[in-house]
Amino acid sequence: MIEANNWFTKKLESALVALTPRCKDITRLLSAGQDRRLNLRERLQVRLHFLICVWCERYGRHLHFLRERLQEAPEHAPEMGCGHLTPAARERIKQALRAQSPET
Amino acid sequence: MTTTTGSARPASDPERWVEEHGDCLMGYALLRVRKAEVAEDLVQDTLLAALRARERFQGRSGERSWLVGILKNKIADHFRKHGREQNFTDLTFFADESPDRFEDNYWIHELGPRDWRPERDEVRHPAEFWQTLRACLGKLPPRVADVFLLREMEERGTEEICASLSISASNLWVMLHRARLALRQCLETNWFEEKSGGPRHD
Repeated sequence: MIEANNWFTKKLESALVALTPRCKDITRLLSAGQDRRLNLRERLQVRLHFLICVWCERYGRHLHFLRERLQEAPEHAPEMGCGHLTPAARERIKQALRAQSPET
Repeated sequence: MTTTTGSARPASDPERWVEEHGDCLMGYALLRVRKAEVAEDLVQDTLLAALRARERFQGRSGERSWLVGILKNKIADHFRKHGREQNFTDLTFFADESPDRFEDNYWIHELGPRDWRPERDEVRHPAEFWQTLRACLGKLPPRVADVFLLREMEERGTEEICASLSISASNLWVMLHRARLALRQCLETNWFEEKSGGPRHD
């Protein structure tokens, strides 16, 4: 029974391998999926591929993760240590704000 | 000069914005345009625009995200005006896509994407995470970083980016894909593997 099961799984796996594109193509599709809606055929290819490939599935998750972090990243600029305003620039900007402020 | 520090009027003191958010806005602007003079101008434009629009600020998203949102638009404007001025180099980045990770166009299992364990539950990322992310972004060729971050950070559409930087759509897809491959790998190597290697600090 177990052997038959294995045999069947193996057959199914190789059928899926033949059906879906290779990992390199899937990573391209997953990237494209971040920028446009994949069509039905492409979505199906990805779904099928995920059945046999945990690495591409992780890759897809990681792309989501990157997007989420990069969208929040600007608010974390101080932690990133990208640089800061010099006292002179700070003063200049304050002056510009004062000049435009209706209250003062 | 009043010294009210009340949070009742969150958007009422533009000069306080400079003190509280100036460094953050400047850091972000510098990351994106790399030149201090340009970045300072962007920060100033952002705060002036915020001053004009402050009645419309509802306080829903928090003051900093509101200001960062305005700066995101200013950065996209900047690339629309000046994005064509730099020419594109560094073709080595495009020579081959992680050839050492694939064999016969499939992931080599031991070298393929790993399970990023704390990925989901980790609500707050420590400062070292952001520094690692920044270091990884720094490894992208400047033009690729411009394209990639316009897409991911300023959340611009692909057509707008192509027009701003005058690049073809196919060029754009390749750059975005390569940037994602490289950044993912860099973060895995320098953050997730480093972290899982040592003891966890909870």
